[in-house]
Amino acid sequence: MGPEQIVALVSALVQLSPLIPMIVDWGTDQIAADEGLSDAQKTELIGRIRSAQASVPEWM
Amino acid sequence: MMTKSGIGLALSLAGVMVLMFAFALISSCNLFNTTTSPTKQEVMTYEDVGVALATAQNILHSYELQGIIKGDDLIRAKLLYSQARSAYIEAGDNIVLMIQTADANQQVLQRRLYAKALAKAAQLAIQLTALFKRQ
Repeated sequence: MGPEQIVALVSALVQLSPLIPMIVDWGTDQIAADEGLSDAQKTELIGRIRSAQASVPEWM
Repeated sequence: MMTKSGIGLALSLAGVMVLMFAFALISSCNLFNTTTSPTKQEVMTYEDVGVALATAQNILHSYELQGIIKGDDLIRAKLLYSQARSAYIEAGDNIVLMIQTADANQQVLQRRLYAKALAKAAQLAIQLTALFKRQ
């Protein structure tokens, strides 16, 4: 991939980024109310989320 | 005109941001209609976006140490990254609230807030990539 293609790719991403909220809104509407998760499953998922949050470092 | 290092940086970041965009899309749409529950899919996506963000930070920090990013560009890059990280943390807090609540309406609201925050993180990350396109 040459410089021109990289610039074109980045430009395309910038052009597409305003569409993200619209796509997300549409997609969220497609998801029904949550299935019943057990308490153990909820605890596991919450632990994974907290772990993911901790894995993204600050850049000071 | 991009410098050679600027091209490398843009390539690395563009790859990460393409992944983030794809993850945000897949997260919100349940495109493959799999048997995995929506919440589990969202958590998996959330983890993947976290890896992408951490990778972006790693790349940016290494370029900072090499002096490739400096001055106002460095300040702007740190600000954008900080905003993207904040949005990511907010998305996580929202999905935790969604999991914890038993109220169906509240679940819908939290899911929407989660998706919006994750989309914001992806948008900010793409702006970060665009910043280096100028170099």
